[in-house]
Amino acid sequence: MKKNSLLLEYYISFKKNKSAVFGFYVIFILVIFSIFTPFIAPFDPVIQDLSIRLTPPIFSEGGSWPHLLGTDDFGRDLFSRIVYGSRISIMIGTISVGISLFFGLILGSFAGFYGGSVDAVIMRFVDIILSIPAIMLAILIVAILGPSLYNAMIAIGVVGIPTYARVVRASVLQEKVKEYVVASMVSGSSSARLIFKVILPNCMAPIIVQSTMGFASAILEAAGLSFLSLGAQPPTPEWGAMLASSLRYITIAPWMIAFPGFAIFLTVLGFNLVGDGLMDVLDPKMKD
Amino acid sequence: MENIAIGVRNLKKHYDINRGMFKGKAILRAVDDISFELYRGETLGIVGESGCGKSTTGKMILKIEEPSSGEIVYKGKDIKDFYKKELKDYRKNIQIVFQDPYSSLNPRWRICDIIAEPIKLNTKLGSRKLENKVLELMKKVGLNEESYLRYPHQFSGGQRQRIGLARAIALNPEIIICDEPVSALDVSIQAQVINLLMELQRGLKLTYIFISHDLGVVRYISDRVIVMYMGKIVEIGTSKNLFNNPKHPYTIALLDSIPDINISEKKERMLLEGDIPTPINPPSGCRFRSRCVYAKKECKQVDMKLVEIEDGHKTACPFFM
Amino acid sequence: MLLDVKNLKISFHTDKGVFNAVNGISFNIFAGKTLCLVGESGCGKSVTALSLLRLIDKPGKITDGTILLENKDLVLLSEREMRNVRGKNISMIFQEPMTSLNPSYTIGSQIKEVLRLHKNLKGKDLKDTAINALALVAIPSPKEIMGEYPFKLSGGMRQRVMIAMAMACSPKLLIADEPTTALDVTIQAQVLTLIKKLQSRENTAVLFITHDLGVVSEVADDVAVMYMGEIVENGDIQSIFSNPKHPYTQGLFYSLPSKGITKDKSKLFSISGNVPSIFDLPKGCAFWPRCQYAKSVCKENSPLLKDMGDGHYVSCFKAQGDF
Repeated sequence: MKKNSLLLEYYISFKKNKSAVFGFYVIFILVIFSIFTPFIAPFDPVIQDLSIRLTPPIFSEGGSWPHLLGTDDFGRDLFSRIVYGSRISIMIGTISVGISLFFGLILGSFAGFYGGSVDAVIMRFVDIILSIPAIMLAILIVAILGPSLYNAMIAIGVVGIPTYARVVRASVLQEKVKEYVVASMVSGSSSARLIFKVILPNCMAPIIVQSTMGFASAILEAAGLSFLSLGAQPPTPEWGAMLASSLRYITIAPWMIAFPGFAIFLTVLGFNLVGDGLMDVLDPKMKD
Repeated sequence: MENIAIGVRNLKKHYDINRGMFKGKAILRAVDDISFELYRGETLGIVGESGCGKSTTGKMILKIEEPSSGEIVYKGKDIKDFYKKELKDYRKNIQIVFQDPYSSLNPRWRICDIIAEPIKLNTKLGSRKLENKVLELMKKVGLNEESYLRYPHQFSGGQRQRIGLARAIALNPEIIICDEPVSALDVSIQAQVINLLMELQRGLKLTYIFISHDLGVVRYISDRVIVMYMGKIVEIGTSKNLFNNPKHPYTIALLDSIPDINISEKKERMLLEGDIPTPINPPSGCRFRSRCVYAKKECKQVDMKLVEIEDGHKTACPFFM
Repeated sequence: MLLDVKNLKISFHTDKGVFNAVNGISFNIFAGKTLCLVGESGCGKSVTALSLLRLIDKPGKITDGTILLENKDLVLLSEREMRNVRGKNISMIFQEPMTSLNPSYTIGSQIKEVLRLHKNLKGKDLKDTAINALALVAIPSPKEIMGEYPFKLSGGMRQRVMIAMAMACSPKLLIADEPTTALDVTIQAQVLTLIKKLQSRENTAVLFITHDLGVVSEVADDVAVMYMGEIVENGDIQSIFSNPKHPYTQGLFYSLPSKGITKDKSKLFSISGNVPSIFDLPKGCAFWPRCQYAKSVCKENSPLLKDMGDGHYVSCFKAQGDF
């Protein structure tokens, strides 16, 4: 009999879902863009050249090589800015989700495992964060720390903690009562080991799905904050900031909005599709 | 006494139930004052239907649940007074095999890790020796060496029970609590696992507590049997005496309810009416009187203390002799 | 003859391959009689039951055979026509009473729904018939129970409600899929008695699916033993129980700890090996790898069901005297 690893089975199931695979390729392209940025982007994203400002994309009248997607109001190559923006988007997703996941995991697993007053205290704290509208809380944090891309990432990360805490807690509660946990207890396992080595590995499915979706929403939220001038500051080529500064050119140079907007749309779609695909793949297997 | 492995005295487990604003609090008497002894080397069967408290009793003996009152004595001391070292020693010596082969193994661990866990947690064996020990255990329970690195979902129900057994005997325990170990298995596999349990008992000098609702299996495998009803013991005796000559109306009803394979002699059976009551507000006196065909007025005053009728055979029904 | 199933084949198309859950089985049931379909997990008995109600969903499909209910072939009916059959001519009770009742609706509304659909009753008539149906299954205080939710009832009570709902329209055939497996043994005895009582009252035919030979002895008139999607032995209960011919059937009987055997006297007989994977079926007789009598003919050819006399059929070369 073959030695089937769980991962191989998941991979095979995932491949069958065409939209999930499409999403995966989108993310793949995004990652390639962000790793090989200096090689893919033809121009520096920040250096201005006012002589070629507001050039249309290459397929429009007036467009010219090598400015594939045209230039913005400062003559900067739009394509290059979008490619550099992908790097920033990856960073946003990673750091924000990283913060939410790290704290959410700790809070959720302790709350779920210990129950009682520990659970009550932690979840009340989580509820307090939740009760403040996300965008307001983000604005508040950025206002305190100062408007910058990094602070925006921290804000988004903090705002996301309750969701992860809840997901982890629910999952831990469900697994905690299963017999294999009792078996480890009877073998003499310590509480910390029970939480991290025994229970949490079985809670990965909802956490992975949440993180994937979270990546997408982090990018969107960062775009929103940048749009409000609270996130990335000019001349950083963050997609949301690019949208914000292009608004007044909507009639003259619509490509300045269209392409960054499309980049956001495609990325968010890609992550959501992958997240959906993962949900389908991981859940039925969990029921085995 | 040297040959008593565990002594249980006046064990109780009560839960406080909140039944909502208007109905107030109630007490669920899951286990309500039971006493018995477990002798070394024997298989003690505990039978009863849902809510009788047999599983809760097992959990208290395993120290997964704390008793509300009463004592569980091991090596002369009540287990609730065990300190770290004694507790560790206790955990090494008493293990469990679960009912559900599907949820009793960590789905995310390979079976080599599942079986090795108790050893890793309690000894300092090096990885080479550990691997050999696990392979030896797998062989003892009839698992193929090649499946060392597999995950639980790649095995059938019967094989998973074998993995659970390998884990249970890993530390060479004295006592194993089998909580319905074959109920979830197909009949043809049940027999295999039961034979394995017997073989391991002989080879490793194990003492079993066998909790089950399947009287046929209990009759075969047990030396002595305890019958529980609504948190109380209603009868104790050797397997032979109890099943051939039951001395409590509930035991009789239980035995009569089992469908008899022998279709040529269909005898008169005592069938109970009504549902099994919940242990929240049990009837006063003898708890079984609401369903007992022999019930008399006096049963309201019976205190359900076990009375010895013949050697080792005790019943809680003073009228049924 | 009420139900006549001939050469039923059901297959599943999964991404791991195609497998035949049911591989050409035939059986029949007369009104007022009980046929027990016996087998262990994976033998195809539940799938067979669902197919009678045409409840097999993708990726499963009935690929061959006829299911004649009073000479009407159910395989050929449209979905609309089947809806008329379900609940009215054929009804079913399941193993898990916890999940077969809708937790969000009262017992009363669930029973009334069945009655309204098939008997077209309304108002007070509807209510009284529903209460009667509950009383018939010996539910205490049926009027009060009408207003209760399923979570309030015990397993045994819920099963009675299921039976009440199934019998409410006096179906010609009742399919019971392991209805007592999840119940305590004293409650099981009550429920089996109840089913037999209702059956004789309404002259219902019953297809009783179980893995418990004890239960079979209580309820069956006829027995069909299934293994890996095929019927390997069938006949009336007397001949099957006093003289099982197929090694698998014999193995099932011997595996049971019977009254005389104690552990000191002997080990329990056990059928060796495990049920094979449906994707990896052995060539020849499906049972040969686990059979103590297997010979080379068993490994090459598949035996067919043959009448050994008195309607006792078995599909085994040894039993048929071929070696």
